[in-house]
Amino acid sequence: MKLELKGIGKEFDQGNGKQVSVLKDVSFQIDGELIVGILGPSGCGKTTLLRIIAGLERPTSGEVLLDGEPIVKPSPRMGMIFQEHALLPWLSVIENVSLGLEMRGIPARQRQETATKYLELVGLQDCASSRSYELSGGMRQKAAVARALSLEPSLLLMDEPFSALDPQTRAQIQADILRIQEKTAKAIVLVTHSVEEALILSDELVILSSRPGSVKELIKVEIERPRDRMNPQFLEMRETVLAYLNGGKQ
Amino acid sequence: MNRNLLKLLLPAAIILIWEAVALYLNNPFVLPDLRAVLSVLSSPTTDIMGSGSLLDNGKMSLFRVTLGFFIASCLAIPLGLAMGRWEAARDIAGGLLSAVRPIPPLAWVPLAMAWFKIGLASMSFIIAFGAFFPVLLSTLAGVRSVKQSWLEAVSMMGAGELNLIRKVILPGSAPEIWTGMRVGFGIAWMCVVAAEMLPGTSSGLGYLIMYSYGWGQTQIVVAGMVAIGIIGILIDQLFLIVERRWFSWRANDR
Repeated sequence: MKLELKGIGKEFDQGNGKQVSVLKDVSFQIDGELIVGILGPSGCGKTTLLRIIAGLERPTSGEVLLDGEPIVKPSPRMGMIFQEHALLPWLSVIENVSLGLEMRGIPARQRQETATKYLELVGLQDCASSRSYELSGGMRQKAAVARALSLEPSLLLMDEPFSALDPQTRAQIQADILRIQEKTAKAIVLVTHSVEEALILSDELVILSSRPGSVKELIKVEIERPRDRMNPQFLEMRETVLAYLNGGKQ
Repeated sequence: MNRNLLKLLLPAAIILIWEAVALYLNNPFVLPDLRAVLSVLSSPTTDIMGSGSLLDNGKMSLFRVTLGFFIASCLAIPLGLAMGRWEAARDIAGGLLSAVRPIPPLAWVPLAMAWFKIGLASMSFIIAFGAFFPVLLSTLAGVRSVKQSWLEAVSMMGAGELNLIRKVILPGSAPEIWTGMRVGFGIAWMCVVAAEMLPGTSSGLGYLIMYSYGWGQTQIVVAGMVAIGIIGILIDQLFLIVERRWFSWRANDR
């Protein structure tokens, strides 16, 4: 898997004829099955950037290439996990997970098997016939992860997926993500506003400047896994990243 | 106090007052007594002065209303989905529809008769007009209630426009559409009775009421009205049962 962002810029029409620039000349690439965290001050366009990678929005300038092919619309080669779980409430959990397979024309028996496999992977096999509103927040996001995995994409995109969860659930689901990533070898792009979450999960960090967002710093996170939040190396890294975010370090 | 008893209180009081006034007036043409009305209602299959039985006329009205309602739904739901989804459809149809909407269905009676003569076609036309707008407006509201995140999540699976409509927009707006159909059926039921009262009709509960009135048989008029009310309640309950069964997710997903 190779994802390339080349000079991504995005301007929005404010409605009064004025253009507001949200992203400016964002370029970086991800080569291999890495977890890349995107951090930046609020309003810097990190969610917009992720949506552009997903093909849900078109950039004003620049292009996104996935294995050399330009992304111009949503592609099942990428799975997305939204801030809000976005499960369809009239379907059961397993129906949600197998919906993409159904639209792809995969026979029912095989759909069932694949969906069950991914529900087991996230630990939701016992909730297969529940509806999304019967699940807790953490379980909903796990179901959304299983749904995103079901089409076997090479890249997972996550838009602050755990921000609405309580700290304990959040830590647990972060561990799940690491386990799943190791097992399925996916590249992951994670947008988050939590420095700690980014450092727990990521192999690399992209730090964006404030609006209009542009790449301020690319950082490799070379802390051994499993990572301990109290480890001196971790704490030192955290200070460095925070300094970048607050505009200190140039 | 028991709530069911409380619900029965007002109807029981009205029946008592009615009966008292009827006995006091002793004029069955102005106000028939309860016994006369009940005796009509208790033999729904008996022919009434050559105009057919209560049951047959009720079936006729139900058939007409179902046909008109079906036509209205078949037009309003696809149009509502299109207008809700595509701006162009909204621009093309919106102006005309909002100009036609304030015209009451019964104002179409003369034109309907001129175009289709008196009969099933003209009645279906009027009924369909009555049911069309509630179904259309609620379909529009339903499409608007579909969350953007549902659409985006499903388009990430590679869904095209057709699949988005089939798998997200239609099921996502179904509860609102159903509510609109329930309201629309209620209006259609009022329209059919009114349409059947027009000269030239020879069946249906509306006709039965007017015919009996002509013969001074007020107890049949009242019995016919009660039958109209009962059928209306039953159909509304049917809609509610389906709503609770199929669309319970709507109330839970908040």
